[in-house]
Amino acid sequence: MSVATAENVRSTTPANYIDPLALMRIKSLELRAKVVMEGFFSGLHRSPFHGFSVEFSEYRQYVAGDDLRYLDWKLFARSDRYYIKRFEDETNLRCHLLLDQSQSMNFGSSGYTKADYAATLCATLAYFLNTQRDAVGLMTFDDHVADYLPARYRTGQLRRLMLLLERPPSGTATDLQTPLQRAAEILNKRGVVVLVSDLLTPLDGLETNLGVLVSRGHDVLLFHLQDPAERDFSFSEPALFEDAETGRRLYVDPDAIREQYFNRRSAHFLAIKNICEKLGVDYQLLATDQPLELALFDFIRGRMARGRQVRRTVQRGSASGRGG
Amino acid sequence: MSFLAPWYILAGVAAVSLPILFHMLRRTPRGRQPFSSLMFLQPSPPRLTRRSRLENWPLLLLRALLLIMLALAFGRPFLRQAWELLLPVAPGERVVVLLDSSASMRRGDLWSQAKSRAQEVIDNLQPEDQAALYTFDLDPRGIVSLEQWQAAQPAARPELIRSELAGLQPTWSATRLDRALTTAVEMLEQEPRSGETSRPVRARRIVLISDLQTGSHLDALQSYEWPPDVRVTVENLNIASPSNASVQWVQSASSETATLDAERPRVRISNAAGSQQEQFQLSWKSQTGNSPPSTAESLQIYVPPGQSRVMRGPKLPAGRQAGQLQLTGDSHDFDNALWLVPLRSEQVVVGYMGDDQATDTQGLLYYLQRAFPPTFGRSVRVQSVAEATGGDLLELEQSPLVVVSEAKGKIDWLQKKLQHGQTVLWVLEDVQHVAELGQLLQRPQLTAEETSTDGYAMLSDMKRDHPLFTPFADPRFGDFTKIHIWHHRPLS
Repeated sequence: MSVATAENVRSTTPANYIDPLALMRIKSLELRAKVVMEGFFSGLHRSPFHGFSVEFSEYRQYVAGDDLRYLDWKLFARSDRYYIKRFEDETNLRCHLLLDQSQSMNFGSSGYTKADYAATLCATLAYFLNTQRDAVGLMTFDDHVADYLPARYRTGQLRRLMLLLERPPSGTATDLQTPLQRAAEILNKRGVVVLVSDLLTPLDGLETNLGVLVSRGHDVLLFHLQDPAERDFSFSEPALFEDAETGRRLYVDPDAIREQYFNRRSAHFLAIKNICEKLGVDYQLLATDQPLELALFDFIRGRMARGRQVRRTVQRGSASGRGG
Repeated sequence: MSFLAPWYILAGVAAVSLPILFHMLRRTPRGRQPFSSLMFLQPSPPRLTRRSRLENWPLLLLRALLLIMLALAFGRPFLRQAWELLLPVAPGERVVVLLDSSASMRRGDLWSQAKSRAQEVIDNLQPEDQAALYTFDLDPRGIVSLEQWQAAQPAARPELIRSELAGLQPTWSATRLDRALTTAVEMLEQEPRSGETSRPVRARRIVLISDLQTGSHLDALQSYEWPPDVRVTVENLNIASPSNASVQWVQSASSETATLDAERPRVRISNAAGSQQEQFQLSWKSQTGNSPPSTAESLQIYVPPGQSRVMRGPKLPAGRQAGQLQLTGDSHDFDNALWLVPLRSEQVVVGYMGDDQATDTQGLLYYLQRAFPPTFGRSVRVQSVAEATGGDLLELEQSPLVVVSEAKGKIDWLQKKLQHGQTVLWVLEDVQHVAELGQLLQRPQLTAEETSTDGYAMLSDMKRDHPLFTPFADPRFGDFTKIHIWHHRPLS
């Protein structure tokens, strides 16, 4: 069976995606998420992705202490061995969306801000997970945790989540340390943690805090957002550049410092990527002019890869544990 | 090159410094650009050195050029250049002064008024204008023509008119205003003869100086196409006592009433507009002229002021052929007399040389006799020269026209007639007669030949300036395209 990657889909059928600008014109966040999802699924049916979710089905040999409810009696009848069905238990995952609502997210050059894009992304993921009967939670933060909605799968959960997402961001600066530490404290049950941020902040402590989350068994995904204007630095006239978070002004001649800007920015991004690779965090750099379906693809692909990687990591971890 | 307003040039030079100044000014960036984070940005050093230098040279040059052009335009430059002013080229006005010299101008001080008005008009003319002076009564008479005016020195022209005016006197004739006006229009429309440079004419004008008597004729103007560019200025002359009536002869339209006209002629009595009199008497003056006409012989006429009446006059006293009709009852008697003489029918003899009979419809004589229908004033008789005897011969000597088809040796007789200025029309019926024609014209080598064309030939070239053919010079009568000729005999 040939499996199409997200990149393949990107390059072959770009016209099938919904233009983010058009999407952002839809006022209701829930409706946006539905539109993205419908586009995603309609693309799915045309693609050879059909049926990937069955890959989660797995059998594990029964060890003493396992819940007998998960024993596969039919298999026992066939093979006379005890196996535990792990699939059903793990697909009902709990996912926490960590959304950065700092002022730097309020910047946008394409007619909508990074915050709009991030909210839509979170709504889409939540909607997607909700349709899969997975529990979704949300934590918004700037320099501290603003709102927290625990992950649940129940009636009204999606609605509450959407309400929190629609609340305008009120924070000031980005501080990743405090929210990540707080998340690590709150999220005691293993699950998926999706961090959506522009990461325009010093990286002190990012590795530590992400490491804590990973070490607690969470699958961490990082969606790193960037605006096209930040990516291309498409300014030409000298002007007073004003920081969205601090309000500091700086006289900048774009032509003069363009090269320097790109160098410092790519160094910052490289540092983030290195941290993610080191910790096994799935890192996705998303520009806000990219279709949202791609982010969904990345999420699912990351989930698929994560399933295998986690097993390997666990095995490696247990082996090294034994060795140490 | 000089400038009409040089101050604008100075102001323009001062203004050119403005764009240079603006380019030299260092502008601080006013634009403010919100950005997500300044963490990757560094403050740019202020570009003092670049700012102080002139940037955008083409723009600066364009701005400076614009100001210079504006200053030049407002300065109104002009080039000093010697320019020959061609005075004759300047278009002038062509004026014909029509001075009424009819008998009515004898009244009061009308004539001196008229002369001073004419002189006034002439004095007011510009040097480039052209003028002519005409007087008119029954016929217009040129006193100073346009050519004479042109020939005179500009300074001498008014004096020329003054000297001519001084010698003029009103006549005893009636007024034909229509003739005078049409003649003046022809003068105005006349183009200069070949050899003279054509002078542009700005306007054409007729100055009519007249007392505008009611009796002055305007009939011919009704069928006259007046040129649109000719204006008429009327200088109306007034007199203190305008009571005046005139008597004029009215020609009958047909000859049938000729006999009656001889006894009781048709006359028109015109009364002047401001006349105090309405009652007039018309009578034949007695031959002695001393005794006034009796009331029984005179005709009482009532004509309101400003109107005219056409009527038959009183009967001519028996035994008289001619007489003088006299109008009485008005203040001025210059136009109160009308002399009437009966018309005499003129007898004209046209000679014919040829041997064909008058009854031969193939011959020339048959048609010649029918070519001159008798009219009221003239009857024409065609007399064959060969058959003439006695008195006829004497008449033939006087006849103005001889038509010849065959001379029969009478060349000398014809030559004598030609020498007297009479006309000989030679119809060359046969080419054999060309020798006689050559003898008459004293050209022995003259030959003729019979020629016939495929279609028909037409008269193409006619010397219209020849006295014989002058009537055909008018295009109304000069159309010969309906005359088709199949056989002709060209002379060589």
